[in-house]
Amino acid sequence: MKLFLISLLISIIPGIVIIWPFIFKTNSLELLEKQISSDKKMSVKWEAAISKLTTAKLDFHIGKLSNYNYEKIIAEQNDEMLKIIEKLDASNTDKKMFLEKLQEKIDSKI
Amino acid sequence: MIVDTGAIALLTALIISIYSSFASLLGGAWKINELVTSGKYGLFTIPPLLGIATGALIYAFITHDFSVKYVANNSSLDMPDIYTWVAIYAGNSGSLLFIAFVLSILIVILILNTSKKLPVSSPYINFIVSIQLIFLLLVMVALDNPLDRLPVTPEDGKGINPLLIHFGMFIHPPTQMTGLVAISIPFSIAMGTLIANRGQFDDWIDIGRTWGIISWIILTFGLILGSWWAYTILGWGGYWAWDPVENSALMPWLIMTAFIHSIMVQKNRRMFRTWNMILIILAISLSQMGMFINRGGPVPSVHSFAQSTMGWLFLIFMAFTLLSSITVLFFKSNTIKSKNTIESIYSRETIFLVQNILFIVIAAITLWGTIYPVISDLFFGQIVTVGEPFYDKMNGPLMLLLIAIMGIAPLFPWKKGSNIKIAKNLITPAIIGLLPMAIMLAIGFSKIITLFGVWIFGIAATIIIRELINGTISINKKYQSKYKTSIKSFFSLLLSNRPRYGGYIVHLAVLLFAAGVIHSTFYAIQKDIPLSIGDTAQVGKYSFLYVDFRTNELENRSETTAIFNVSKDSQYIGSLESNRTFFYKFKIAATRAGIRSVPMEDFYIVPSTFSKNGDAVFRVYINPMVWIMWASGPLLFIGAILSIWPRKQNRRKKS
Repeated sequence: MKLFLISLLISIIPGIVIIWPFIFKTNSLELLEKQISSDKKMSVKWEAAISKLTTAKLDFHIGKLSNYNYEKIIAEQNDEMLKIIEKLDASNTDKKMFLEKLQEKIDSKI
Repeated sequence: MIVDTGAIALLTALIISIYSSFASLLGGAWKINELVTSGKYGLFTIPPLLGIATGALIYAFITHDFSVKYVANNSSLDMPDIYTWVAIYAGNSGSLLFIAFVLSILIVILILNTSKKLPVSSPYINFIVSIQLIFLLLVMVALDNPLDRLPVTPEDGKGINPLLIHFGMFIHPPTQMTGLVAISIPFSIAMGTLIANRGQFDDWIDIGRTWGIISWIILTFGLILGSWWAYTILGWGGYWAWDPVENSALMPWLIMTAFIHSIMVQKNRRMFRTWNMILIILAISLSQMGMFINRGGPVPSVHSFAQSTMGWLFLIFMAFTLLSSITVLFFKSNTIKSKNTIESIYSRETIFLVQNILFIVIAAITLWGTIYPVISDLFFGQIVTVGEPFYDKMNGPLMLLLIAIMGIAPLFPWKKGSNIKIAKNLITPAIIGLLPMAIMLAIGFSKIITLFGVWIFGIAATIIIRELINGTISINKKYQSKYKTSIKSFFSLLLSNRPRYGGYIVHLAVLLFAAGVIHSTFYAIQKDIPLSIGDTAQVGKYSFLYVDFRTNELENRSETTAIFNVSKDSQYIGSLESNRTFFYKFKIAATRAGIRSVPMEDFYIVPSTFSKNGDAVFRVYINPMVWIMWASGPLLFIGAILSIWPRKQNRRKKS
């Protein structure tokens, strides 16, 4: 009986440990961010695109940038970011979600 | 019940490892983060599970539970508890458990190290490394379980192999096994990166290099400790016999040495990507071959204590690893193509390539010599063993060439160097190198080959020391206000480029070691002298009086110790004891040499069989510079650690 209980315990603990990530889901968006930062070239391009996007949004809101130029910059930078995201090793849903979260983050900065 | 608990833990570890490998692979391929994390967490549970299994085995040893087959085969009632540690890895299944336990711990460190730095490759790295673990666990659970019970419990065990009863055995086998299994880590990093299509990003280089050096350090110490054990306990007067098992540890070491140099080319020049993959595949294959030879390979060896009938399984696994790795490399080779090429033969990358090829050639010669008995048996129906002269003749000159290349390498810059400048920089060391040669000649070492060797070592050492002095002077000049003394400037230089200066320190240690090898090989004196009590004999400058002998009959062995008074140049230098022990149960004798060691030479005396009145033939050696070889070990360790020590700013960033 004792042996049975010990066996149960030995097998249950690792069982719980491996099920854990399915119950408490980890943030896959963090993983994508880490991927970008692990590649220096990608990281530089990414930071530059975010910076241009944030500045353009800010300039547009305070009237420094015309509608035409603003949309042009936004399209260019979004394109750049999409290219980077395309290179990432992740599912399309994750990529889409990542982009949405990023837009929210940029908007919140302005 | 504790033993049964251990067996259950072992089985659970196997099941979890299988799950983790699939979870990692599928999670990585299908981009399911939860599955990847689940696999990772699964691998985190393996060390505690194997800890339970190992603990259960230790418990069985301590309580003399001879119902456990492994305990009955590798211990006895009269075995002191302290040897339990040695007994754990004295046989096949116990050593497998030890290796698996160590590997599982390394895997946890690897995961913590790579999951953030290499997030894309990490699942594949975990998959590959867990395959290695699964193999070990599967062999244990299915074929040779260290916790298996015997149908009938014997009253006493067979006992531990007496050759293992030595201080060196507490460290040498575990270090060697850890070094060999640790190669799985850089291999998994490299292969995982390749599978994840991240080869062109070179983001695995730093981690791969660090793990490569870690396994190299452990292997190096395993080899040095093994040599020390052979020198002091096996009583043949030497430290290296080109024994198949020694060779099986040397071969991966050679390839790992090539790898940790070659990876620097990839780091600095984004070249040699495919080459580095080939090197690490070779290293892991040779380490697995070592396991095969050690566990029932067809070649006879002094390391026969870990033999089993399942060596062929290891050969099959080696073939599987080799074939699958080559297949992956073949299909992914287009992802690691490099745009850079070697621009000049006077460049550091060329030097590294030549050095790499030399390492491979030496490893290939050693492999040929190791497996030649099998080949001769297969093709000529006769087992022909290859002895020391073959290796000395074939590998000796190549090793000397390697040392020469190692010495001049710092003169070669990356990309493109000028042959005139390199030649100019070589003149001074070539002249200074004559100085140690002249000293050795004056002392009495007059053989051309050794004088040439000393000259090469002199050149190499001068180049390294000049680099260190010039660097210190320039730091001192540049930051005079910050580093007021030369010593501070010197340490700041060492810390400024740790891989480079750590490497230089390692090279200095290698020079010392090589100087010891070359002198002890060419100038050793050996004499067999029959002596009775009261006799005096003379070998070289040493004379020794056979004072007395004593015999101690114990339950499991008979110990005979001879006592000598030793003089050098007619001056008494001390008393020496050398011993021969016969183990009844094992029907083998172990000798313990009497050694008097000073930096210049060792006086070494070892007995053969004693007659009843104490008459015996004693083998006497005078081995020059062996002490220097052992002394190079700590220096090598310091250099290697310095070369992988993380930079200060990186640690700050992390915090």
